[in-house]
Amino acid sequence: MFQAEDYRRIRVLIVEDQAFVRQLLKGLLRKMGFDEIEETKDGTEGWAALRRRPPDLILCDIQMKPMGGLEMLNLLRNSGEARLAGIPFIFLTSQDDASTVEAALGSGVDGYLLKPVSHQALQARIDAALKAVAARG
Amino acid sequence: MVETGASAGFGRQFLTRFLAAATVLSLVLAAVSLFIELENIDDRMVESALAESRLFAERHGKASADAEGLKASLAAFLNERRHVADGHFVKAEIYDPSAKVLAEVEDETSPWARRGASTGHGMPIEGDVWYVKHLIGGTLFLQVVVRQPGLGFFEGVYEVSAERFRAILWSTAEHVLVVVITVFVTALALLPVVRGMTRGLERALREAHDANEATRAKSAFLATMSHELRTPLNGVMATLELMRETPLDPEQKRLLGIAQASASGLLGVIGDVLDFSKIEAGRIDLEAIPFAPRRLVTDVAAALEATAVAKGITLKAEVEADVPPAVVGDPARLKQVLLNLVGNAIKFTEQGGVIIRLAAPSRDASGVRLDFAVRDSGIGMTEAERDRLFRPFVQADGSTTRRFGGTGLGLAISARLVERMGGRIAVESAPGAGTTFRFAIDAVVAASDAVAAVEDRTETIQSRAAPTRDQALAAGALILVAEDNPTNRQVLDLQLRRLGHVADFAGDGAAAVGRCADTDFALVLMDLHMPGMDGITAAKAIRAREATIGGKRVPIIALTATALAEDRSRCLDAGMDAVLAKPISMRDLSETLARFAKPVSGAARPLDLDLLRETVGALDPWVIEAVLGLTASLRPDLETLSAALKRDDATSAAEAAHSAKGAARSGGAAELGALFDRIERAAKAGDMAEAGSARHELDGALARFEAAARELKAGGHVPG
Repeated sequence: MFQAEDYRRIRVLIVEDQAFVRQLLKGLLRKMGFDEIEETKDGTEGWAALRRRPPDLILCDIQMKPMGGLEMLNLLRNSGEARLAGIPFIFLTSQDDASTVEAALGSGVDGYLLKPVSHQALQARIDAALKAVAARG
Repeated sequence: MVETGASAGFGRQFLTRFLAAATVLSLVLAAVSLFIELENIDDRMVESALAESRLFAERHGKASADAEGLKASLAAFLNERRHVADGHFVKAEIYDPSAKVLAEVEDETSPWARRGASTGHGMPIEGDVWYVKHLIGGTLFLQVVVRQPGLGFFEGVYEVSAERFRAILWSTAEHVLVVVITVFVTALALLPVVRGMTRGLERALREAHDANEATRAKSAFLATMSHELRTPLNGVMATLELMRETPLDPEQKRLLGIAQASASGLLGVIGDVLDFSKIEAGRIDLEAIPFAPRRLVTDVAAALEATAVAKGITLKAEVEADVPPAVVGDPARLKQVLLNLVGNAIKFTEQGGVIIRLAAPSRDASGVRLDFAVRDSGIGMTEAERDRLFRPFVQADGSTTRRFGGTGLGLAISARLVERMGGRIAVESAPGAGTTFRFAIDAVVAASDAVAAVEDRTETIQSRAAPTRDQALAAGALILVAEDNPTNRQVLDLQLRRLGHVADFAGDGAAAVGRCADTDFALVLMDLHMPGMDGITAAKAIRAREATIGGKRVPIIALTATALAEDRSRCLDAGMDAVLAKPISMRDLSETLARFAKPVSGAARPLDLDLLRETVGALDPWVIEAVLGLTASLRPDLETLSAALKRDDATSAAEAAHSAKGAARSGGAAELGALFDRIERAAKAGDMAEAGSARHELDGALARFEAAARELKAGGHVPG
């Protein structure tokens, strides 16, 4: 289990079109101990933000306009830049149809959580993704 | 001669080639048969799984020698590759040749794990083959490990379901290497071994199948037993509750209280057995609701007073003045712990008495430490006895069994519950000097009116005059009760009348389905266990009929005595809206009726605090603020939705409803979530009329949600 201390140094990027969900996520992350949280409203904004300054973790919705989460993930993974391609990426979505799930998994997402996401599941998924990165190294 | 020599040379060569070919062939066959025995496994999956193993070996196999390193690389690897292999792993382990687990990684966030109950049953079968069964969200996973000394290890985790049978095999590079070398050195000698393994695997699978049957039988037995015990108890408790509302003198009231406390004690014992298995499987969820700690302690004392008086000892409850009037926690579980400790204390005290003491030694702005102590002047214990106390099923030692009776489950459960609450039960005792059980837990202080609200509700279940059946029918308020047991029917009839409702009765599922076809009921209370057609089948039939004729959806509440999580999900899967566990109290019934028996648009609550807590944990002030902002956040989607419906644009309507649904559910807006879901489904199916009609219900639901959110902010629900 990570401590609040460990989270403090980790920069999170939220990509989510619902203001309410952004607020909820931010609240939960703050409570866990995260300090540096950037919010964006869709894939285009998210992509611009992470080009500007790559975060250490991305929490992302799927269905957004103009650019959705899957497109953004593919951009990231195929960017050819190691520092971008390796950022842990977690989907938070209510999209539960098989084709979307498969597409997401095929693009190498680090987590796929269905809304509403319980705070425990969120933290467990974040921990797992961060640990994987730490192990990679 | 030359010919003979050539012939002999050819013969030898042929023999050598034949042997080599036979060796290779038999190896292939052995390997193939090993996998074929795991019938139905897709070759592609085995290949993919083996490829994964090799990949792991390439990337991490040599890098990590120690267990920590191995685990980290296993975790990292699984995390990267989790979804790439053809199937999903549940758990992966690496062993050294002596079967010591070197590293183990479980994926508790896999898509199945998050859907609910996870039970693992580990069962060694023999030295060389064992399996572990995982039941995750209704899907069975079979993990088979085959070990042959000197051969290495295979471990497979298989998802077993009606639609799919997938497999992933993991083995480390070392194991593969050991297998390969051993196989080539002892090629022919290996065959019987492999055949033995194959047979072992066959046996393992057969036994696994038998064990599945055994587990099913055990689960069915537990369900039946709890049903059989709870049904008569239901009658007893409900009757006592009704009797309480008849004119009684104070003495009769007191006696009735004792009878009620004893009945609920008995119910507790039945719950214990189910509880323990749930705790052991890590499946107990604690509640976080406001309650009055003082009341809790005096309730426990009142419940056990009769027992103490009968033994001629005293039972006192002391609550220090600094204990806050209301805290947030799980009162039912705390009560369970206290009842257990105090009950034991009374059991082993022959002279003097038992004192329950509650103090709050430290307190700050938001939290308080509650210090519970149960002290008796009983026979006391030696140190050795103390050490054995909390172990379940410790029966080897007669004195422990004598002291705590039966399995000692109660204390084991209490200890684990207190641990879950963040405390630890400590015991101070010496032979002849009495015993003190002590534990402390940290709790959040709640506004005191929060508890008052809860208790008021309990006390003020209004008895209302019931309308006539015709009046109820005309008002669309008639209830159908499907229940075969005459006692339960009578009890339910009385309870419903007391709450101002009238019911028709059906004696089995088929009758219930028939009645629903000819009458518009406001609500169906459906017993699960009925002769002929059971409740689940009947509910499915009712839903199927509604779907066919497009009739109004009647809320169906399951009545079950088993209280098992599996039953619950079976009910919900069958299209029922809620589950009431027997014995059914007036309070549960009254709350359920309030939720469902009004003109109903959907079963879901406007603001479901349980759902919200599930998402965010404690209802801190920032959560309340966020929830208040939900409707504003939904506005763009609502506008898109309305516009899309106006121009019959099903795709945009479905998208907007989908987006809103996720946000609404995250905020605990269950009713809104359900409506958006309805709209999304209807739009996707092209049924724009249904989507439009659900859209009309949105405004009411939005208003109800806003009211509930404002009430939450104004009310005492916010701890601290």
